[in-house]
Amino acid sequence: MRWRVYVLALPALCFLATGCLSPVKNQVPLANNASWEKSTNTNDTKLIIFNTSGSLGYGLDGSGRINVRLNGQGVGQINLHRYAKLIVPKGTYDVELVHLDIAKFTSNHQIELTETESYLQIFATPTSNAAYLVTHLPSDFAQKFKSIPQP
Amino acid sequence: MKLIYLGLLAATLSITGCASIVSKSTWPVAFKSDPSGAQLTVTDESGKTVRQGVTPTTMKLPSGSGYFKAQTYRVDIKLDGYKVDKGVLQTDLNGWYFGNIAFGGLIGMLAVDPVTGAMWRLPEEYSTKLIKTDATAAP
Repeated sequence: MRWRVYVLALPALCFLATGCLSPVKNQVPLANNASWEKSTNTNDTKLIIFNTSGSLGYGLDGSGRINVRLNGQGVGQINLHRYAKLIVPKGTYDVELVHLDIAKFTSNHQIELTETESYLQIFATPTSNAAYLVTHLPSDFAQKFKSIPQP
Repeated sequence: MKLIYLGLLAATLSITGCASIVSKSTWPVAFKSDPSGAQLTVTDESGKTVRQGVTPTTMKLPSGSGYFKAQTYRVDIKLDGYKVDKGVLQTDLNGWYFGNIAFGGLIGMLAVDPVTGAMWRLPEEYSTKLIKTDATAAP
């Protein structure tokens, strides 16, 4: 009988253990709408980091929350269908992503920001995280995505 | 009782993964661009070009890339006079995968669907609006 308890308890524990990732402390100033509109410095890029983790795989148990660090500085925790807006100098950056599922998955990515506006699409995968620089936001971005709260 | 247990075991073994039965592991994706007539290149995670064509077009793409591994595709769309459009085609968990709780059992959940890639699904459509080279991107 005891093995049945283990068989039932193990998945339940795995499920409950997810979604407990502590948010990384914000250390990089997030842009608000006013600063976003005002920014005209050609040496800077307006960067939007948005989380497109799958709703079914990562939304139900909260495992789609991703902690983001840029050059070791905390940006914040970006949940699925959330985004962070930053204004940073153009250049090469190291991006660290962390999400918690049945284990803590950390990945590092190097990105080069050369455009005046840059979009970084991030999402959790079964064994890691993914980060891709894309040239456009999803067509339903305005309706579906919300900004992470200002610290 | 032993016969009943044996019968149940045989029935479980004979059923393949739920998502593999009901759903599929290769998905048709409609690629559209505005304007149309653009050169489309789809590459997989390893950087290998898996499909090429001209928009609008529909291509069948596998959703899995290995045991419990979802495939992610990079999509590049090029048209003279427009900026190169770079995007991502991303998989999500297939809802039918949860059907293994009722049918398919552990074999479907841990073997068949993860191996065939049927536990993942791709979106039906990928569409993008191309930006002229002299124009700035809209936020």
